[in-house]
Amino acid sequence: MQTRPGSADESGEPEGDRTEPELDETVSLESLADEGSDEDSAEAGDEGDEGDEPEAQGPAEADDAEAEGPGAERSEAEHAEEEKTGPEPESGETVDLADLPDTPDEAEKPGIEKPGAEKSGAEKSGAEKSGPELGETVNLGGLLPDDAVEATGPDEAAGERAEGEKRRAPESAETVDLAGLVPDKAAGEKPGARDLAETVDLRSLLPEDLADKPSGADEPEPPLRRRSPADAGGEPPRRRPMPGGQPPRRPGPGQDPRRGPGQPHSAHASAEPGPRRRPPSDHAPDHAAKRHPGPEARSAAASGGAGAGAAAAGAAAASGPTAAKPGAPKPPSVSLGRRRLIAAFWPPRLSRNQAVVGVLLAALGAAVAIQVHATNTSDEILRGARADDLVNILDEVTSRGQSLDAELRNLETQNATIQDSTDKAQAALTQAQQKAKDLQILAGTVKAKGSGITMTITDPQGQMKSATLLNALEELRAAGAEVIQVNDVRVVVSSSFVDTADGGIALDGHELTQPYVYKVIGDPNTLGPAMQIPGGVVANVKSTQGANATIASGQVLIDAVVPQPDPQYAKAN
Amino acid sequence: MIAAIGLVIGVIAGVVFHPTVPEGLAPYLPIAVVAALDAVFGGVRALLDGIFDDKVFVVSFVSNVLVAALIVYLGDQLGVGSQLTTGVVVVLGIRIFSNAAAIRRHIFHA
Repeated sequence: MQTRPGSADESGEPEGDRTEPELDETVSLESLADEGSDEDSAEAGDEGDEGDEPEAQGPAEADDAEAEGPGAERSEAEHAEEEKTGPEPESGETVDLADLPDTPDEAEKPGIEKPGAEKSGAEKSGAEKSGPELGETVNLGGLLPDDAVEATGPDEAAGERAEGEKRRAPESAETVDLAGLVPDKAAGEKPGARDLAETVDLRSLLPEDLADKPSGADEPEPPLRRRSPADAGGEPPRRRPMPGGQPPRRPGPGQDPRRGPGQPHSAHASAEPGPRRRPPSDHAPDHAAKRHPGPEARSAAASGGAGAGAAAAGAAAASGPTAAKPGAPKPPSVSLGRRRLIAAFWPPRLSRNQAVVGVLLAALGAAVAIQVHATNTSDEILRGARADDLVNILDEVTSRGQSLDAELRNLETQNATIQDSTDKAQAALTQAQQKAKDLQILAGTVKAKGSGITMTITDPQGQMKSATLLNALEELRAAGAEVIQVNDVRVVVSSSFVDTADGGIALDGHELTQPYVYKVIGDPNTLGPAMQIPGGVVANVKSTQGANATIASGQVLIDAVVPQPDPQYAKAN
Repeated sequence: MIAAIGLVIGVIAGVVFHPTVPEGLAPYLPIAVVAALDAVFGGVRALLDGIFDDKVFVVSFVSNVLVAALIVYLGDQLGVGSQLTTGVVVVLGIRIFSNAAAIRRHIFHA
C-alpha cells in the first residue's frame, strides 16, 4: 500500500504539481493547515535530497498566509509560482516539491471537506503526508493534544487514507515529520503551541525508540523504507540511500532554489525547520542532533562494517537538515562525539554487552601481544611463515652459507700461505744465523770453545824456524782442526809465519814468545795421534836440537779474535 | 571502560603467557589482528556517532577476522598468499585511516 501509492505519486508528481496549484488557489484559508503538511513534506524532502528546500519554501509561504488570513490567497498564488519555479532548478528532484504542494491542498480539503480527500487519495503518496497534515490541522482547530498523541489523527486518516498509512504513521517516520511540522505551527499559532510542543516531545521520544530498534537491525535499509514511505511517499526511500552516500550534493542545489523563489528568510526557516524551530521544545533539538550524525555514521557503518549500521532510518529526516546546513550540524555532533567518548569510559558500566566487547578486545590485545612477541623472536617467525616464505628464507640462508663457506676456504688458504712463508722465513733466518756463526768462527771474529788439544812446543836454544811452526799448523788443519790459536794470536786463513831479523818468529805481525802453545778445537782422538805419528809434527819438532812438543787433550777455550773484516766492494749475492 | 580494561588485560596476558599459536593458524594471526583493528576503529567511530551497537560490533569483529583469514587462506591455496595478504592489509589500512579520520573529527573538531 504505502510504497505503491508513493511510487504512483512520484510518477504522477509532475502532473500533480500542475493540478495542485489550481487547487491551492481555490482553497485559500484552509491552506494554513496545509502549511503543516508542507512542513511535513519539507522534512520528508530533507530526507530525500534536494526536494526538501523547495518544499520548505512552500511551507514558509503558507506560514505567511496563516499570519495574514486574507493574504492566504496571495500565498497560494505564490505557492503555485514557487512550485513552478521550484521544479525548474532542481529538475529531477523537483518532483517531490510538486508532491508536497499537492498534498497540502489535498490535506486541506480532506481536513475540512472529505471530498477533497478523495481527490487527493488518488494521487497520494501524499496521502501519507496529508495524513499528518490532517492530524495537524485538527490540532490547530483545538483537538490538538489528541491528534498529536495519535500522531496522524488516525480517525480522520482512516476514513480518507489507506490503512497502511495509519500503520506508517505510528512508525517513526511520520511521527518525525509531524514533530517537524508541529513546531512550525506552534510558531504560527500561539494557543496550540504548547500542546504541539508536548506532542512533539512525545513524538520525539517515539522516533528514538524506533531508531534504537532499527539500530539493532543489521542494515539501515529496512528502516529507511519504513520511514521514507511514511514521510515523503514512494520517492524518498529510493533517493535516501543516495543522500547518505552523497551528502555534499544537497547543500549546493538546495540553497540555490530556496533563495531563488524570492522569500529566502521564510524559506530558510521552513526549510531548516527541524533544528531551528524545534528549539522551543528541548527534546526536538536533541533529536535533530542525534539524527544529524546518523547519516554520516550510517555511510561509515555501511562501509566500515564496524557496527555503525545501526539506525540508518532515523537519520533520513536529519539528513535533510544536515545537507541544508553543512557547517552548522557538524559542531554539535563533534561535541556529542567527545561527550559520548567520555561517557563510554566513565562511569564504568558493567553489562553483558560491555563484557562481550571487553572479551573481544582482550582477545585482540592478546593476539597483538603474541604476534609482536612472535615477530621479535626469529624462531617464532619461521613458525608462522608460509611455505613460499620459508622457501625464500631457506634459499637465502643456503646461499649465504655457501658464500660464507667459500670465504672461509679462501681465508684458510691465505692463512696457510702466510704461515708457510713465515715458517720458511724463520727457517731461513735460523739457518742464516747458524751459518753466520759458523762463518764467524771460521773467520776468527768470535770466541769459541770445545774439545780439542793443546800442543806446547819448547825451543830453549832458539833454533826453531817458522817453517816448523807452519808445518805443524798445516798438519793440524789436515787433521781436521777447526779453530786454532797460537799464543795470543788467532790463526785464520790469511795468517802467516815470518822469521824475524833477530832470530825470532812473528805470526801476523805479532812476535811469538816461547813456549809456542797451539790451542786447537777439533776431534782430540784424531788430532793427538796425527801429531804423534812417526815423521809427524812431534818428530819433526824434536829433530830440532833441544826442542820438544807435548800434547794434552781436553776442553779448549779460544779467546783471541781478529777484527771483523768490512768488505768495501764485495756484496753478498 | 570495560572494553578498555579488557584490552589491557588481553595485552598483559599475551605478554606474560605468550601462548604458542597452533601451527596452522600462525600465518593468519597477523591479518586477523589487522582486521580486528579495523573493526575496533569502526566501533569507536560508531560510538562517537552515537550509533554504536554491541551486537553489530561483535558480528563485524568476528566476521572481519574470519573473512580476512579466509581470504589469506584462499590466497595460500591459490599460490598468491603473500599478494592477497598485502591487498587485504592495504584495504583494511585504508579503512582504518578513514575511521581514524572520522574519530579525529569527532574528538578534535579537525
